Amino acid sequence: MTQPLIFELGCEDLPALQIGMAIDSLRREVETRCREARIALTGVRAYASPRRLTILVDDVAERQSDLETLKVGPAVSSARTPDGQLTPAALGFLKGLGADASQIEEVEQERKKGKSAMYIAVRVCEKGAESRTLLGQILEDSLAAIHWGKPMRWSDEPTLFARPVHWILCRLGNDVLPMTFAGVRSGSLTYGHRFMSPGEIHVTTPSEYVDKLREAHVLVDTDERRARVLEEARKAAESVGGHLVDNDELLEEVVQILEWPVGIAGSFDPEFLKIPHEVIITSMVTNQRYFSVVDAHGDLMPNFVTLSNTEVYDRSVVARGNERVLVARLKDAEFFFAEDRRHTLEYYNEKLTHMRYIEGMGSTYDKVVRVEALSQTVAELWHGTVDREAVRLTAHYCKADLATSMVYEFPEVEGMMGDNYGRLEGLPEDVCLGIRETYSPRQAGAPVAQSLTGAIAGIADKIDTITALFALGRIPTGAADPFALRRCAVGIMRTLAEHHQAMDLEPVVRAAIAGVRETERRLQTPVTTDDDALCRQILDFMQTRLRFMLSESHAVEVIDSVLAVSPLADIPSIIGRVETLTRHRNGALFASLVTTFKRVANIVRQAGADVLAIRPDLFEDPAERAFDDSIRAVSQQYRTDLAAGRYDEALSGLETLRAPADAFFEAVLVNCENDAVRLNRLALLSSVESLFEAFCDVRKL
Amino acid sequence: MNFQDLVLTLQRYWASQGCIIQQPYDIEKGAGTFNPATFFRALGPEPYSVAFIEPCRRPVDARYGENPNRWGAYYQFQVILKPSPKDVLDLYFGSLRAIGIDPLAHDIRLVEDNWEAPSQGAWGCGWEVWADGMEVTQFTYFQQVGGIPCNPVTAEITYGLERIAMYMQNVDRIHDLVWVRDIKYSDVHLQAEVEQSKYYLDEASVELQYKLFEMYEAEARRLLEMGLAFPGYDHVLKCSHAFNILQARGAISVTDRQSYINRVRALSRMAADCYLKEREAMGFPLLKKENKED
Repeated sequence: MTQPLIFELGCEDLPALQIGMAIDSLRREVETRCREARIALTGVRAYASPRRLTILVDDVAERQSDLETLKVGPAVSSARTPDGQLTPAALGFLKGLGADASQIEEVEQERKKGKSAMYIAVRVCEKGAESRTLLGQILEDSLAAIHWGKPMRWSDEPTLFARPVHWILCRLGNDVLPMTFAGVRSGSLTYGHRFMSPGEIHVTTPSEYVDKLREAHVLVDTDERRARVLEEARKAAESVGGHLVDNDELLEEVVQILEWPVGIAGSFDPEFLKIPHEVIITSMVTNQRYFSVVDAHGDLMPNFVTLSNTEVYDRSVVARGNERVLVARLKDAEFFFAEDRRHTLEYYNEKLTHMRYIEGMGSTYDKVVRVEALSQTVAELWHGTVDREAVRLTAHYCKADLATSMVYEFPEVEGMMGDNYGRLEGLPEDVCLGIRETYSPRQAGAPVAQSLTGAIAGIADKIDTITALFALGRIPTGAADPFALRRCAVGIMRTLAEHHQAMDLEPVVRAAIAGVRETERRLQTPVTTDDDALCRQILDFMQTRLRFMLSESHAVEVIDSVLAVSPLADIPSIIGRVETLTRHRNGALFASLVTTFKRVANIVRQAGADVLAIRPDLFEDPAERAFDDSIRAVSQQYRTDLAAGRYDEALSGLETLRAPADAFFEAVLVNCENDAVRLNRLALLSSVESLFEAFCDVRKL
Repeated sequence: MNFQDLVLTLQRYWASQGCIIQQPYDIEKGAGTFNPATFFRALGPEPYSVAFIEPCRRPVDARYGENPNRWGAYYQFQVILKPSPKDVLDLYFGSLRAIGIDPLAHDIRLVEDNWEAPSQGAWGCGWEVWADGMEVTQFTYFQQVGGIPCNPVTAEITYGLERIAMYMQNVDRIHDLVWVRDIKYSDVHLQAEVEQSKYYLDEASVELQYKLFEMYEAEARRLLEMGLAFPGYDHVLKCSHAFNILQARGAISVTDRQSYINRVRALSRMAADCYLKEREAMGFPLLKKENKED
């Protein structure tokens, strides 16, 4: 027998960005706890809106499943007398369980390590209790287990939750399932939209829940709400003759602040389009959570789309109100734009001397000086033609806009304003683009700098940031990374990878340390670590980030096998080899390849002898000569392929060595009596080993 | 609705909901939260429900009366409900209806915003309330005040009066708000705004304010150590205002800013402790009153 469960917690508006996490956690907790309590659930669904968290279950088993356990008692030796009678110890054991002698079994068990003996035991069957008696507690515990970012208290209620709790709808079968959370007792009612349908709603079966709430102006299914937001927003954009600009991040947030989305389009004076569009978009998207609208050519239109949470009497009233708010912001931006343009970027750069970068590391201007110098080091190591002066200018101006009013007011447009203002004062195109792209990638997964100026100055900026903070001991720990150093590290590596730069990071880090030390000397900041230790620490940190970055799509042993043989000197090659191994790993031949070369590697490492030159005159068996020939045939092409980034070809080269290697092992004994022959065979193996080692440490696979 | 009626309507509404209507506190402050009716009353177990208009001064926002939206002096309307009633949001929406903002005619939204006042050692959870995209209210459940966890929890509702009035009167500048009849907001306050801006931004003696800060700080400490919560706290407010003037004069570097905030916070904590001890010594008189009624 089963019963349906309807469970909904109603509360005040939850933090939008945590709703998804909360409902996932609630569902997981309920499922796990029910499983542990042996309560079978089928047809579990979870829903969430700003004001409710819901779990529906079509079938909840009416009872827990029965539990049979084996209770083990004293050892047979102490349970029975030599003539087979039960001892007082055995009788006590039976009495404790309410069992009789007929139920006794004898089982072998290991109670002391390595010593097993026979014990008497009894099977006890625990009858499952009614689910009804357990489920309330499970739901209460599951709610309490949600890990909110900033839980709060309200009134005189001691419970912590994201926002005050108002009602709990909890029905199992035809009855209310009694439970209490945060001082609220469960009942059989829910409520609709706060303003449009505030009355009570009776829900009796899980299947009618979503529909009944929809009638009460609540789209409780997040997917349905998301689809409605998009539909409404697109319709609104089309109503002004434009297209909606998709923005997933904004969409997800908007979906979680509305229960009944209504799309409303607004407009502003086209004159404002003279302001850099990033600023307009920031005002609209970040500050007001509007969608922006473009025309058929993709150009920004003087329109926006807002999502109302209420089907109001007259949409134009809401549109007008929103327009006024946006226009006030745009007027501010227009003013700052005009104001900022009264000076050059050089003027703002000088103002950076008054802007503290971080305690102990001087001003932002000090940072600019360091980054400018470091950008030249990176440029020197950059493979290919680089306009060093353009890189220097990019680094020189990359922080200037931090002193402008616009960036002060709209911090999200840092770098973008430097680009805009730079163009207006006639700085070269690549410098302007570089200033903007110094900040790339702006978020995890966002594009890296496309311009060389932005890529190089950006790497210099990021390495300086990491070095400065490590020097101050501000190293990311656990979840705490207040200066986003991990993102910096990943940004550096993604940039190098996508620009195919085999750059040794150690000299760059050393140059960055020299720059930071210079600042520290001037400021008399106490220096706590020596340069070598600091450099090691930073390179280890970067390698850990690289490992973490790769672990998103590759097995850890693959990554480690490559990292074990690679200093942080050629990131594209590390990534290329990891990707190649992952691709081939499940191939038919790969396992035997690994087996063969692990054998090679193990023998070479175990021998530990000095490696001598291979002497063909000491070959005793044709298999040795054949092996040697194939190594010679492969090795040059293999090294060329590796250097050229043709990792598939390189791996195929290694694969051609497998058969000769196997034949070699078949034909000869490496550790033979004759020392010279033995050492020669080891030399042969070690030359193969060195080939493989240029790819990865095969023993880790 | 004119500005004067807006204030009167809110007062009448909250009076009818059982709030005491107090008047502003007579010392300069940057926000209504500094009023002892908020700062002190949020502490300890005693219930308290109060509403009041509070003139606020933010020297850094002074713009010689030239900016349409930003003035160095402005008003907040504060409602303090302790313990926070279960239907506090509905009560609040009722106040919006009372001043003519019908939630079925406007898009009223709660946007997560967790308020924090480092110099008061205070923070809470809540929202900005948006009406058609405009922030009209800050709604906060106080979690901590003066570094002391709040129990029971107070709900604080802070209305931005000028903004609400501008919206309702459909004007684009604070100056043009109708205060009453043909009297504009600027008729009432513009001269003071211009002169105070000159004072805050250009004329205030930095040396004097530094000195005053030190003196007020020492006096606050002395008084609070003696167990004089109110006069001690008055000097904390004076410290805070001196700091605000110094900031408006550009006399406080980024580095120093934090250390000044820390100093004011230390005093705020002392004041909170002091007040709570005094109330405890008195046996939390308002608690007894409530029990008698039970």
